[in-house]
Amino acid sequence: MQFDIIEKGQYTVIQINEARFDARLAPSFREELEQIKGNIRDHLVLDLSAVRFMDSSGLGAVMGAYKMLRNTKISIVNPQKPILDLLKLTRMDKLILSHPTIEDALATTA
Amino acid sequence: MNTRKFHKQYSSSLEASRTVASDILPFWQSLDLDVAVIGQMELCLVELVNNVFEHAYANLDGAKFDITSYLTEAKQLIIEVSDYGSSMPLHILENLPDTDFIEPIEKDPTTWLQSNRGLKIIQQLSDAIEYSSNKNKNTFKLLKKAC
Repeated sequence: MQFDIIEKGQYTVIQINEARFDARLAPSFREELEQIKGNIRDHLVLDLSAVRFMDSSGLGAVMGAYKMLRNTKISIVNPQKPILDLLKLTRMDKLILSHPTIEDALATTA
Repeated sequence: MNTRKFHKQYSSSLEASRTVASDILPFWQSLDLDVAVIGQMELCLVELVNNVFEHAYANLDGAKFDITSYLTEAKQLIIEVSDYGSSMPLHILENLPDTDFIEPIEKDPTTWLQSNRGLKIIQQLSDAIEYSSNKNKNTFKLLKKAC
């Protein structure tokens, strides 16, 4: 599975089980999100632990989620350094916060 | 004089950037380049290959493009991506503002957008970029100090 969806309490976790979140993966991510958007809880957590590489298409897909789910808080969990660097470079880290663990991400809404 | 050079021709596709990256990473690693430089140049190269697929070839599968990379004596890494499709209008590069990315603001959706985000990433991570169009061949050249 490219994505694992975990729904629990007030949050939904999408685990990206791919090393590359790029132009190849972005359309599947958008489709997945489109399918589950009605069931997404108050807080969407994107678990990027497995992602080693992200390009502007991957970033665009994350931004697409942000735009699609206007009333949902979105966090990124456990990004590897290249992904953190990309978020910082493009300043998207100001809009979508990253946290080391799911618990840390959820603590921000507690 | 360059003693080692990477040169390979590929077919355009949505997956081509993955193939190119997996081919060129061992070459860059063999040049003992800094890990951070390799990561940044992998991102730039992927953006360029995706641009070729999406813009030069309008998402057409199977069109040819070439990748060349080498290290100069001055330890500058050169990457060239050549396609034989539609050339990029010159004003796109000329108009790429030489500034940082716009800081997005939660309450202002217009700040969430960043036009030419891929090209801007390339511009920010490279030391210099050059673009040339000759007859039917377009070449995007990227230079990066490697050490």
